[in-house]
Amino acid sequence: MKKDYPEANARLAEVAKSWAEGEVSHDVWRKERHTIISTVWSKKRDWESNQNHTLPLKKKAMSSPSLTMPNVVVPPQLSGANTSSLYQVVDAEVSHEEVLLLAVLLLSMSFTAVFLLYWV
Amino acid sequence: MLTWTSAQATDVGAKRKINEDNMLSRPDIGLWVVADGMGGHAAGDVASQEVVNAMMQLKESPDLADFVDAVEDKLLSVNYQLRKHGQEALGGRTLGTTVVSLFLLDTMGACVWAGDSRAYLYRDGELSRISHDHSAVQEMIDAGVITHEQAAFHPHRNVITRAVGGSENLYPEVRVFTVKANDWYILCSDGFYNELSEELIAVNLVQSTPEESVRILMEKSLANGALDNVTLIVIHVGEE
Repeated sequence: MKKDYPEANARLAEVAKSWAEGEVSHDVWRKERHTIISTVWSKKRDWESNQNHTLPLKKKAMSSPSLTMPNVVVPPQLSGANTSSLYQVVDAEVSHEEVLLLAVLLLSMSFTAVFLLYWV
Repeated sequence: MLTWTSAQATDVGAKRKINEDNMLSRPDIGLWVVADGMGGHAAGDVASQEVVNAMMQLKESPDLADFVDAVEDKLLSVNYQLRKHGQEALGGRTLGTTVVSLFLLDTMGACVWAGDSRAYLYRDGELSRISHDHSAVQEMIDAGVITHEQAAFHPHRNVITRAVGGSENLYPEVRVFTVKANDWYILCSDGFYNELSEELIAVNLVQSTPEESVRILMEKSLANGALDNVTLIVIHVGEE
């Protein structure tokens, strides 16, 4: 029910409220209401057919074999063969020496921390 | 082509002495009305009867907008008459009535209402309200002050904010909708929906005929206590 003519009903409620609050006259409300209802009445067949066919038409269009892909220019940094996703993670190469150096640094930091804690 | 059949019933209920509700079914022109009067004997019943009498005079119309104009003209005229009658014959007493009317034309319909009598639509297994109550509790619900559950027990649950005859100016509201085969519509007074939850209405509404729907719904409503007058009209849309 709430899906039936939502714009028309929202407008009817809005103008009715303005009339009840004294912002517009009864004549304005009456003319506006007549116009709104006449408009939906004259276009009801279009509205009903749109309601009945919107989803199937869209679905059909999506799967139509006659449709072609849009002609989009792909930037060179994204067009490489290895790039399968924008969020692809590339493996980093680290040498054994660098790992050893890092381990020594961590060890020395740990000893320093223990020394400072117990002897100072 | 869509066709409609309808049935209606009204009952004084278990507590009230007089029935202040009135109703009108005109399936020949696609018009149905429920009016719930207030003000006591010789006031509420008169007010709701006046609305029904006025609506009975409406002629078939091929145009929805023109018909809504004609309905509003009748309601504004009755509003004026009731105010005058209250001043002149009842010593300034207010007599008023709610009104909910439904008009179906081809594949479209319009609902015009003032007060808390309701119009419901049952379509595709779902019951929804067409009208929006003009009542104190509905305003509180809309403002987020109370919930629907709290409204059922609120001390101001019987206070309505618009009624035919209730004040100098009447502001009926309008809503338009599509009409489809197998739609079921209900027009009812608060004495009906206060006794039966929307879940129970939805479960019991669809029967083989509108007469059967009305019989079952009325029976259940009365069985629940019926503190107020109970009135309902059930309309079923078929297809030829």
